Amino acid sequence: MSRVILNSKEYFFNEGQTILSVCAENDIYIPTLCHVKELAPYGSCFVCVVEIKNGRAGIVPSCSTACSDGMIVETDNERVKGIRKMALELLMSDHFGDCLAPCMVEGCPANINIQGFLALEGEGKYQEAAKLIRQKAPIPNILGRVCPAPCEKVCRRNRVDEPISIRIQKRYISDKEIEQGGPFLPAKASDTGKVVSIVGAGPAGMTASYFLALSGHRVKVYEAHPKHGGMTRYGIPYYRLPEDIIDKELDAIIAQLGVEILYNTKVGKDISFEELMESSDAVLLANGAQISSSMDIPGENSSLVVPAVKYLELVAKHTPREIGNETVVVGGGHTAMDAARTAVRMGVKTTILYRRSEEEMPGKDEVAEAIEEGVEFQYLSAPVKCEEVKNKLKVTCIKMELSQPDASGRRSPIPVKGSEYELQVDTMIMAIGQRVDSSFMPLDILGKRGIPEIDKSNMQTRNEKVFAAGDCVTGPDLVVTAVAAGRKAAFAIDNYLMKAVAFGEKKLFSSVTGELCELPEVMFATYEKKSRMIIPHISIEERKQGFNVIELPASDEQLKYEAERCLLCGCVEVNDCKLKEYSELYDVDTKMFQGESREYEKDSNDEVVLETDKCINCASCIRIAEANDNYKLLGLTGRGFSSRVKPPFNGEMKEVDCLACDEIVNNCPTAGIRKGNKKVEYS
Amino acid sequence: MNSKLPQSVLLKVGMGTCGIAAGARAIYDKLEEQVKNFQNIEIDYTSCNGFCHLEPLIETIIKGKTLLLANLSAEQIPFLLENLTNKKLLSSKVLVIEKDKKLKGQNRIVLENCGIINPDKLNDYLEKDGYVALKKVLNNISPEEVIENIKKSGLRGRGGAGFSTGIKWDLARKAQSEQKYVICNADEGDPGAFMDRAVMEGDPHRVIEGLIICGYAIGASKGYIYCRAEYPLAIMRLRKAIIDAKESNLLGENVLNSGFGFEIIIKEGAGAFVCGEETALIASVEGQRGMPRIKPPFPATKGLWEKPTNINNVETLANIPWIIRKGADSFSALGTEKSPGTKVFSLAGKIKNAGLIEIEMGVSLRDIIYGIGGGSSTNKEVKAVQLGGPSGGCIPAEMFDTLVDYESLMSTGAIVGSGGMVAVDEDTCMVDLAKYFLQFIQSESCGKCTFCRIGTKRMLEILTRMTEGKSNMEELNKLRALAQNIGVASLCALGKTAPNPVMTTLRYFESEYLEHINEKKCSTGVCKALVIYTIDEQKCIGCTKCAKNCPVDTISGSLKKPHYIHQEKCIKCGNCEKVCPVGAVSKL
Ligand SMILES: Cc1cc2nc3c(=O)[nH]c(=O)nc-3n(C[C@H](O)[C@H](O)[C@H](O)COP(=O)(O)O)c2cc1C
Ligand code: SF4
Ligand code: SF4
Ligand code: SF4
Repeated sequence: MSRVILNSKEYFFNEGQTILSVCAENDIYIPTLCHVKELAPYGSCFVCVVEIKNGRAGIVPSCSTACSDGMIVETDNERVKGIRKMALELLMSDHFGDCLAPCMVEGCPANINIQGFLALEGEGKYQEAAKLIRQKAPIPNILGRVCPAPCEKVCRRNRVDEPISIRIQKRYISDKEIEQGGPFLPAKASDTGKVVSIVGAGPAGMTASYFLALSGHRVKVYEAHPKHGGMTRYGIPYYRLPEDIIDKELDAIIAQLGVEILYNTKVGKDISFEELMESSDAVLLANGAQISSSMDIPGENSSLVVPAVKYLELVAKHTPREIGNETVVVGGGHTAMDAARTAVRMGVKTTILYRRSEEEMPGKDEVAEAIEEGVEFQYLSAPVKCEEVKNKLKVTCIKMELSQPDASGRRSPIPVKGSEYELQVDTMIMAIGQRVDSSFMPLDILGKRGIPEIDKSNMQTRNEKVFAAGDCVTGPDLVVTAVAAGRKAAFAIDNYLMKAVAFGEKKLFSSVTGELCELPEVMFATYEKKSRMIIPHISIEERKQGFNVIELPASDEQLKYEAERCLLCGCVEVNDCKLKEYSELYDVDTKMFQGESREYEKDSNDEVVLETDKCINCASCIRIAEANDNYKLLGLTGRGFSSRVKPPFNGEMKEVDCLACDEIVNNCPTAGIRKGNKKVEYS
Repeated sequence: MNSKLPQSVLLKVGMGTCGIAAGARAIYDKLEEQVKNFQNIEIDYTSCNGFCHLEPLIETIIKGKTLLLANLSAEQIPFLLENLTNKKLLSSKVLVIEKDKKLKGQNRIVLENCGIINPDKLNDYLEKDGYVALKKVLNNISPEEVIENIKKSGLRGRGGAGFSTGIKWDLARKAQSEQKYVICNADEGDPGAFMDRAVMEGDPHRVIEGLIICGYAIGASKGYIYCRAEYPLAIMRLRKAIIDAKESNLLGENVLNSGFGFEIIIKEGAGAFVCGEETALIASVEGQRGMPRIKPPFPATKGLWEKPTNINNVETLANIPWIIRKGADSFSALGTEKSPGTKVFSLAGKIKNAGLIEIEMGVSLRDIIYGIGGGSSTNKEVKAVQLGGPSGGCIPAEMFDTLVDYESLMSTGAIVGSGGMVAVDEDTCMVDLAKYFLQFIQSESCGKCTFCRIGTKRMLEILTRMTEGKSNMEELNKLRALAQNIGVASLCALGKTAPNPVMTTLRYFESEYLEHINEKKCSTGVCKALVIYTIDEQKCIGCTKCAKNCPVDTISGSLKKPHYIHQEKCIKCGNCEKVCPVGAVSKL
C-alpha cells in the first residue's frame, strides 16, 4: 500500500485513488460542486482544489488527481481557500437568484424570515410562525402593531400590485398564539452562572434579555420607569399599542425565562454604574434616547412648552397633563404624530408645524390617519420665538423653503426672510428629537457625541465588558432596529462570556437578483392581480373619541388570503444548496466580481423546473442522465460564458423524458434543476 | 512570335493560400496563356515559401541562382517572359530578389521543400528523398529503435507545450491495447499563425510520412489528421497526397510490403480554438462537443474511443522524416541543448519582412526582428513582440537579447507557443493589445470550468473599463488576482495560459495601465474613449469643414469664427482632425 501526506498526516491509499476520495474516507473536508461520486471526475467547478507541495507541485482539482506515493498535499491552506473563495465568487457573479427574500435581507432590519412566517401563517400554523419570528425578534405582537414596515417597501409584490401587508401579520400570528395560550417561548439552556446586567427594559434591552436568558445566562434588568417597554410603552399611544399587549409579551420573557427586573431603579441614581460592573460579568447599555431635544429659541423654557416624550409618558401613566384647548406640535416624526393624535383624542385642537414639506414626512399612512382624526398641518414652517401672554402662548413662526437637493439627495429648509407670522395657542408640544442620557456612563466608553461608541459588528464598547445597543447608540430609531441591535449584542455577549471573544453575528448571506425597480417584467408577468387585505379597523368617530385600538382582528380566511399573496421570493433550495453553503463558509462577497450575468430564465415540465438562471454548468444532470442511458434530457448549448444547460436542440422542458429524475435533482448543487413541487422547510 | 531562350527555364508560381489570396491564380493563368509563345519555358506551381510580403511571386533559377520575382501583377507577365534572361532589364520593372539573401539567418528543415516542390506531385517529394525515412524504418528499424532515435534527437512538441516527442511516443507504445491511434493536430487556432497550413499546403507528403512513422512506432494502424475546415487548400492537397501515397503502396494494408498496415482519415474541424487542445480534439473527432476533459488519464493511455492515442502537431511530425534520414545527432546538433532543432514562426505585425521563417532554436529575438524581419515597417520603433498568440506573452524591446528557446522564453513570461510572433510599434496600446487577446480567449472558451468561463470574462470587463477610463486601482488588483488564479485553476491550457498577455504587459508595461487608470489617458491614442478632440481657437480659421464632416453634428461655430466640439456627443471618429486645413484640431 502506498502513502500520501494530507495536511502533515500520513494516510494509505489504493492505486488510482483520487485525493478527494482519500479525504472523504478520512473525514478531511473538501467542498465540491460538480463531482458526482459514482461518475468519472468532470472538473468544472474548481472548488475542490488542493495544493500539492512536492513533485509536480501546484494547485490541482482533488476530484480528478490521483494520489501518488509520498505525495504531500495541503487541503486547507490560505492559497487553497483563496482560490475556492474566488471560484465561488465568480460563480455567484453569474448567478441570478435570491437565496433569501429581499424583505428579509434588505427590508427587515432584524432579518425576520417573512416569507417563512407568511407560509406558515397561510397553513394556519400560527404557533410555528410565531416561533420563526422569535428566532430573530421576540416581540412579534409589539412589532406587528408599531413597525413602519420597511420590508413592505422592498416587497416584490409591489411590482404585481401592492405589497404584502407584512407588518400586521406578526400581530395576528401572535394574537392567535395568545388565544391558544401563548406566548410560547423556547426552553432555555442550562445555567451558565454568568450574570449580565442590562440597563433599560425597552425593545433593545428586553430582546437582549430574551436571547441571553435563552443561552442560560442570569439576566438582571434595571429600569428607571415603574414598568417595562421603554418607548413602546411611554412613547407609543395605546390606540396603536395597548398596555396589555406589552405586558403579555414582555412578562412572558420575564416569567418564562426567569429574567430578573428591577423597576424604578435608575442607574447613576439608585445604583451606581460601578456597582453594576462589579456585580456582573457583562453589562449592556440599552437605556434609549428619552430626553426631549430643545429647539434653542427664546421662550422655550416656558411651562406652556411641553416636551412630547413627557406628554406621552404622562398619558401612558394615566396621569395626563392639561394642555388647554389648542396646541401646536412642532416636528414631523413618529413622536410628533403620536403626540398630536393623542392630543386630538384628549379633545384638543391640534396643529402640526413641520419645517419641510409633506413629501419629507416619514409615515404617510400616519399622516392620512391623523388628518382623518382632525389634526391640522402647517408645512414649511418653524417656530422662532415663544412668549407667554396671559396664560396663553404667542408663537412666532417663520416660513421655510427647501434648498436644492444636496449630494445625499436631502433638501434642507431655509427660512424665508420677512415671512414671520404669529400663532396663539394654549401650549406647544416639542417633538423635534430626543437625546441620550449618558450622564451615568464612564467617559472612556463614550464617543465624540457623548454617547456610547461601539464596534458595530458586535456592539462592544471600548470597555470589553460593556456593550451598548438601541437608541442609546443610534439616537431615536425604529423599534425593530433596536430589536436587531439587542439580539446582536446578546449574540456577542454570549460569545464574550463563553468563548472569551465577542464575535458578532455573521452577516446574513444571500445571493441578490437586484433592486425592486430593476427586475425584469417577466418575473411578475404570470401573477394574477389580487389587492392587499384591508385591515379591519374602528370608525373615525370612535377613533376621535378615545384610545381604543384602531386596528381590529382579522379572520383566518383573511390571513390565509394575505399570506398566499406572497410570491415566495426566496429560493426553494435555500436549505439544500451547496453553492450557498460553501459561499457562506468561505465568506463570499457576492458583489466581488460584478459584470454581465445570467438573467431570469426558467423552464419546467410537470415534474421538474430548470432554473437556468441559477445553473452553474456543473453538468451533473447531463452526466447522470447519460449514465442512465438517457441522452434526451439535457445537454450543453452555446459556448464560453453564454453556454447553458438546455433540453436537446435548445428545446423545452416539456419535450424531454425525465428519467432518473430524483437522482438528478438531488445531485444538482443549486436550484438549477429541481422538483416543481418542492417546498422550503422553514424552521 | 516564338522565342527561344538560351536554356530552358522553370517558372514556379507560389500557390499557397497566401499567394492565391494575393492574386497568384491570375498570374498562373496569364503565364499559361503566354508561355505557349516560348519554347523552353516551363511553368509549374509550388506553395508558400514564407515570403508573404512578396506575394504573388514566381520562383525561378537562372544561371544557377534562385531568383524571386516578387509582388507581381498579371500585366507584368508578358514583359517578364520577354526579358527573363536579362536580369538588369527585368529588374527595371519587376522586383527581383535573390532567394539566398532572403533566407539569410534561416535554417530550413521543416520548410525545406516548401515553395520549391509541387505539393500535388508525389514525384517531386520523392526526388527530395521523400519516403526514404519510411522505407528505412520499415526495412530495418524496430519501433523501439525509432522511439529511441526520436528521444535521442531531443525533439520537443511544436504544438505549444514543448513536451518530449520521444517520451510521448514511448508512453503510447507501452500502453497495452489491440487498437491504438495517432492523430495529427492541424487545428492551428492561434489567430495570425499559419505555419502548419504552409507545411500541409507546401509539403503534404512530409506530414503523411511523419504520421505513418509515428503509427509504426507506437503500434497504431489508423491515423487521423484533424484539420480546420477553414483550410480547404490544405485539405485538398492532403487528400490528393493520401490517394497518391495509397497508389504507390506507401499507405494501406501492407505498406511497402512490410506487413505493416496503416490508413489515414482526414477530419475537418469546425475551427474552434479549444479543439486544438488534445482532449477536446479527441472529443470532437468522436463527434461530441469539443470540450477538454481533465487529465490524467492522458491520451497516451486513454485517448480516442478510450484507446491509447498519440497526438502530435503538424510541425512536430514534419520533423520526423528529416531526423530519421539524417540521424538524431544531426538534429540535436542544431539549436540549443535543451531545445534542439529549428522552429517555424510566422512573423507578423509592424514588421517589414512579414511571413514564415524557420530558425534554429537559440537565435536572439533581436536577430529575428531586426535581422530576418528587417525591423519596423512603420516610422515608429518596434516596442515589443508578442509570442505564442493569446496563450503567450509580450516581450519588450529592451529584452530582445532573449534567446528563442523554450526555457529562455518561459523565463520572460512568454512562450514559444505554436509560433506566432507579432511585432508591435509605439502606436500600439498594450492595454488594448491585452484586451484583444483576452477577447479572443473569451469568445473561444468552451465554458466548462469556472475560472475560464467567468474569470476571463471578468478580466475582459475590467480591461474594457480601463480602456474606457472607467476603472480604478482596486480593479487592477482584482485583475491581478484573477490572472493569478485563472492561471492555476483552469481545466485546460486555454484557461491556464489565458492571463499570459495580461500578466506580461502588466509586468513590462505597467505604466500604460496606470496611465489608463489614474490619468484616464491613452498616450497611443488607441483607446478611443479616452481621446478628446479639441479645436485650438487661435488656429481655427472658421472654415466650417470640421462641422460639415462631423457625423454626429457635435461641432458648433459659424463661418470665420472659431469652432467648438461638444464632447458629450463626440464619437472620436477623428474626421475633424483629418479635414482641418490648418491643423487646429488636436487629440488629447
Ligand atoms: C487551447 C489550445 C489550443 C491548442 N491548439 C493547438 C493547435 O492548434 N495545434 C496543435 O498542434 N496543438 C495545439 N494545442 C496543443 C495540443 O493540446 C497538444 O499539446 C499538441 O497537439 C501536442 O502535440 P506536440 O506534442 O506535437 O506539440 C493546443 C492546446 C490548447 C490548450
Ligand atoms: S440556488 Fe443556492 S445560491 Fe442560488 S439563490 Fe438558490 S439558495 Fe441561493
Ligand atoms: S412577496 Fe413575500 S417573500 Fe417576496 S418580498 Fe414580498 S413578502 Fe417577501
Ligand atoms: S442544472 Fe445541471 S448543470 Fe446546472 S447546476 Fe444543476 S446539475 Fe449542474
